[in-house]
Amino acid sequence: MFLKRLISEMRFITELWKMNLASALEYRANFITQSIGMLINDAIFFVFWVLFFDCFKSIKGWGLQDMVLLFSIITTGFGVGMALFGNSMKVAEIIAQGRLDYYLVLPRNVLIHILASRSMISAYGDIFFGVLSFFFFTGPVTAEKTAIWLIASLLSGTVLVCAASLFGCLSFFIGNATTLAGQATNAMMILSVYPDTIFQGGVRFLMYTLFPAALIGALPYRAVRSLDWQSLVLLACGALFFAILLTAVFNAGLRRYESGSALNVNM
Amino acid sequence: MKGVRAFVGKYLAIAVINFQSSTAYSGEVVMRSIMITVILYVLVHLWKAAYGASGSTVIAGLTIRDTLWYLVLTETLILSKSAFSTRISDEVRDGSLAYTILRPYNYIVYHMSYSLGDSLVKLVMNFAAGGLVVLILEGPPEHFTLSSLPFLIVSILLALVLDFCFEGLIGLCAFVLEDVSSLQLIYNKILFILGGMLIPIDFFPRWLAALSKALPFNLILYGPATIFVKGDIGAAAGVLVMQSLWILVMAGILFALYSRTMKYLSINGG
Repeated sequence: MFLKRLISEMRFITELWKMNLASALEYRANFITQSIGMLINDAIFFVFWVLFFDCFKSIKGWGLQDMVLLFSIITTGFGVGMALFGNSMKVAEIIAQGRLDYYLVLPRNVLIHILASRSMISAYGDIFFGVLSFFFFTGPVTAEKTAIWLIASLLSGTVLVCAASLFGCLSFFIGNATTLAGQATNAMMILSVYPDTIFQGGVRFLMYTLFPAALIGALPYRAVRSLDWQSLVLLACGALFFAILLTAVFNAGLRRYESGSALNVNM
Repeated sequence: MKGVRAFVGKYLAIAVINFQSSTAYSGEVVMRSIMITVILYVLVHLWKAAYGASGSTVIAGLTIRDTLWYLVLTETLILSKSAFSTRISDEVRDGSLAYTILRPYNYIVYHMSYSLGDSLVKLVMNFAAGGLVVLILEGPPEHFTLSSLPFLIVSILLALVLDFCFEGLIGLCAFVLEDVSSLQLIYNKILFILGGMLIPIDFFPRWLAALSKALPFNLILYGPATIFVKGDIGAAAGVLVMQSLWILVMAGILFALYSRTMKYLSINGG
């Protein structure tokens, strides 16, 4: 019974993804412009680190190649996460505006349906940048390194999607949390793109727990850099934990949700 | 004289209305300044580690405290400036341009005044929040003097006007392209590097520093930030002169392009 339901949901998500991609490709010029725009955006940070390490050579054990590897993992994870579950950044807004009604009347898993209903077009630019930077700027590439990088990037994306959605779920409990959720997600992203060794004490603890910036950046980086499968298992456990936590919090929030009877058209 | 007063009064009223509207929701205003505290917290640790690793207390003429206060000002400016090209683009796409362009004001100056009201609130909040982080973690600015304060305020206002000119030019492209988000993104990224937002221009290799200083983008971020951290009045006067000259050039191009665009604009509907 469970397996049958799982297969059915997987088929449904696959159809949603296909539809999102087809819809993005329908406006091809927009798709290309947004992807290239994001590629340039990512490349600017690459330039920043080139200039920075031109002055300082290394910081607490991190050099230019380490930063590029960290960035390649985060951009690939973010890209895949937002291309497949683009609504994870908009959960707070959807709840606050009463737009859950549309999903509630359909016989599908509400959370997954919401998250997979939108694809962030610019995310394809992130994926392109991540792949390009990994293969050309992170030193010798082996099959094992590539496999760990790919798994680590996907797990990093999973943690990001779950954490961003969790912040969005605050709308169930405190009213319109759109700005708060956006700020929390951005803050987490900012913390994740810098070497974790520069932080100490409480912030470092938060980065590995409630505010999982280290699970998005530092931990997957360490798994790839040292070809460390143990770190990868730890990361997988973290991703699983956040997925379970998200499901529990979302379901608890759903019980408090009151429809605003708003009329919405999903296009 | 009366005409000038009426002209200034009209646009000042627009700026004041938007200033009041931006401050009406104080919780929202405070919430939006959370971001700069996180950014500055991260940057304090990054630059402390960098200075620590280099073993020097002064790099490219800047101490760690100079660098951090420089970043407070550049981050404040970038987070407070208005992306009004996006508003023009939205008006072109949703058709509301048909109403806004017919009102009895200059369309470009209206948007500039509107943006100024919003930017001033953000400037104060972001500077207070970011400054507080650096003040607690590193201490007050070392070379800032009260005598350079008037220069700093004027320089910040001129920086906003110069930025408006670039945003306006990008916004006018919406009449042809409709969506200018990618142009806006590229402009912002130019400011990140050539404007000196992410890293002070003094840290650049010589050829890139020369290129950045020859272009007007450094006058939007690097110029005011340098006045703030160096407190050198002679250099500050030079920044103000360069800002004014570039504003004349860019505003000239903007208004010439605007009047040319208006000649070809046709609005259909009823």
